Amino acid sequence: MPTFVYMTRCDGCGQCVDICPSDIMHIDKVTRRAYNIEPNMCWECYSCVKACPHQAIDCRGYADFAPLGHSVRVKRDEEKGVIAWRIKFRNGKKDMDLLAPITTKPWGTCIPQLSDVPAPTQQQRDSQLLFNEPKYIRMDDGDIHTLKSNGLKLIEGVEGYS
Amino acid sequence: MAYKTIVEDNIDILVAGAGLGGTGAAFEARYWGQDKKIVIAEKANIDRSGAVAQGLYAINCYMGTRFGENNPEDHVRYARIDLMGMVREDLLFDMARHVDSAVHQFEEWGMPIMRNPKTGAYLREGRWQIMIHGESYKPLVAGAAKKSADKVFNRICVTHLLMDESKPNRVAGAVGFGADQ
Amino acid sequence: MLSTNPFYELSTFISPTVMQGYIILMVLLVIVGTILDMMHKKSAQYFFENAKRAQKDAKRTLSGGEKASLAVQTVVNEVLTSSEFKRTRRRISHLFTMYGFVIFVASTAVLIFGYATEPAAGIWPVLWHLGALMLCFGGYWFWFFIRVDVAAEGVKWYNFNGRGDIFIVGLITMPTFALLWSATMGSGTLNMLFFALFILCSTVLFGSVYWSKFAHMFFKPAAAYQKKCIMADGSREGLPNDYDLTDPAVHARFPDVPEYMGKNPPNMGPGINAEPPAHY
Repeated sequence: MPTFVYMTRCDGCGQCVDICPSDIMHIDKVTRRAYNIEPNMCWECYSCVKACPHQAIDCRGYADFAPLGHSVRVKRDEEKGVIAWRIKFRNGKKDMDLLAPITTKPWGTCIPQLSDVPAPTQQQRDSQLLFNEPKYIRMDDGDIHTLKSNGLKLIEGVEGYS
Repeated sequence: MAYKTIVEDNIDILVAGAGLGGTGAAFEARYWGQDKKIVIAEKANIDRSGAVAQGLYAINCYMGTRFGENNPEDHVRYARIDLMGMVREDLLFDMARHVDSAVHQFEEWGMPIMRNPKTGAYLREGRWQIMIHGESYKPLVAGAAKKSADKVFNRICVTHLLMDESKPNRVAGAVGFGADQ
Repeated sequence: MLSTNPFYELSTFISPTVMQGYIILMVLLVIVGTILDMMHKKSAQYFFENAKRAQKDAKRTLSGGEKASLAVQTVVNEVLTSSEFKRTRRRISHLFTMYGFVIFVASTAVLIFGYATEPAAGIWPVLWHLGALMLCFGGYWFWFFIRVDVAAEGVKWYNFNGRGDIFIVGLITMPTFALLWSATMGSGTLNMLFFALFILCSTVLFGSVYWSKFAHMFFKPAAAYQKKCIMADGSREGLPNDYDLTDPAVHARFPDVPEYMGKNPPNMGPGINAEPPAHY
C-alpha cells in the first residue's frame, strides 16, 4: 500500500490534496483527515509526503520491490532549501541520513519578469534565437549554431532547411 | 452534484498542460508577447506535474558547448544511431542547439547543478547526462511559469479543441473539465 | 440585555434542579461518548503501542522532569494557542471557536449552578454572550471559508459533506439559537421556539460525541504530547533530523550543502507553500 496518512498527526489542512499529481489524496468525510483513495494508482512520487507540514504521511513501498520492515521518511524544508531523507533497512543494519540542497537561491527571486524586460527587437523576432540567446548558450559572445556555422549539409531524404 | 462553468475569454496563448514543456513554453512566450494574455490549463497541480513531478537528479541531453564538450550535431548523430536512422535530423539539431541556454537559465533560477571539482564543468555521468540536485526541478520551473502566465488553472483537463468557424483549420479555443468544481 | 441572566426568566417555569440535571447529563454524555469512541477506534491501544515502538528506536530515555516540561509545553503551545495549525486564518478561527466554546459552556454552568434564580449575575451573563458570539464568529467563518472541503476540494458551503459536519453544525447552531433566545426574551412563542432549538442543538452536539469529531479535543493534545516525546527521545518516528545549515559538522558530513548553498544559506522563503492549498 503506497502512501498512507497517520490520522493522529493529520489536521486536515489539504496540502496533500492540493499537490497530488494523480488527484488521489482526498479528505475523508467522516474524520475530516486526508487519506489515499486509490492506492493502486499511487506512483509513490512522495509529493504528498513532502507537502505535509506535520509529516503525517508515510509510504510503504510495493512489496515486490521493498519488502515490509523498511522505513523511508523525508522532510522537505522549503525555507532552509534542503531535503532530508532517513532510510532504514529492514535488516536493521543500515540507518542512512541524507541531506541535499534543493535550491541555491530564494524561491522565485531570480526569475525575471519577462513583461518588464526590454521588448524584443524586430531583428530578434526574425532570428532563430530564444529570449536569452545567444548569450546563455556559451555564456560568452559566441553565436547560435546553425548548419552553416557548423559546416554541415543536409543530405537528400531530409526536409529542406537552410 | 451541480458543476460550475468557467469561461475564460480573450486568451492569446493557451498552454494546455504544464509539465516541463508547457511551463517553459509559457515563460518563453511571455518575452515574445509581453502584452499578450497567457493562460495555462493543467490537469494536475503545476507545482508537481508532468514527468519530473517528483524530482529528477539528471538532465539527459546537455550539449556543453560552453565547456567545449559536445556540439548539436554530435547529439543528432547519437540519436540517429539510437533510433536506427528514423529521425528528423533537422528538428533534432534545432532542439539540441537550444538545450544549453535552458539549462544555464535553470541554474540562474536556483537549481543546483553538480560541478566537476577538477575541471569546473558540470559533472557528467556518461557523455550526455549531467547531474543536478533536482528534487525541486519542477517547482522551480513552475515558479517561472506562474510568474509569466496571467492565469494558471490547476486540475483542469483540456479535452477538446474548438475550431474557428470563420477561418479553416484554425483553433479558436479549448474545452476542459475539472473533477472538483 | 447582555448583562441579564437569560436563565433567570427560564427558572420561572423550569426548576433550577432540572437545568442542573441537564448540564450533568450533557457532561455524562460527553464522557460516555468519548470512552465509547476510544474503545471503537482503539485509540488507547494505538497510543501505547506507538509509545512502545518509539521506545525501541529511542536514542535516550526521557526523565520525568523532561516529560513534565514537554507536557507543559504541549498545554501552552498546542492547547492554548493552537500552534499546530500552520495556516494563520485556520489558527485564528480555531482559537475563536475553542475559547468561545469554553467560555460559553463554563459560563452556562456557572449561571445555572450559581445564579439560576437571580436576574443579575455579575460578569457571567456578559461572558455567556461573549462566548456565544466568539463561537459564532469562529464557527461561521470556518463553515463558509475554511472548512477543508470548501477550501481545498471545491465543495460549496451549502453542501453538507458527511458525518464530519455534525460537530461544526452543532457548534454553530447552538450559540446561534442561544443568542436568538436571549435576544427575544419576553416574546412568548418565538422565545420558546428558540429555546427549544437551542436545547435540541446542544443535545445533538453533546450526544453525538461517538459519531462526530467532538472528542478530538481530548485526542489532539495527547497526540501532540506524544509527538513532542518522540522528537525529544531521538526515535522521531524514523524522520530525519533537523539540521543546522551553518554547523561545520553538517558541512563536513554533507559537502554538497555548503558547496551549492554557501556556509550560511539565506532563508529561501516559501516556494510551493506561498499559496494556500486551494487549487481545485
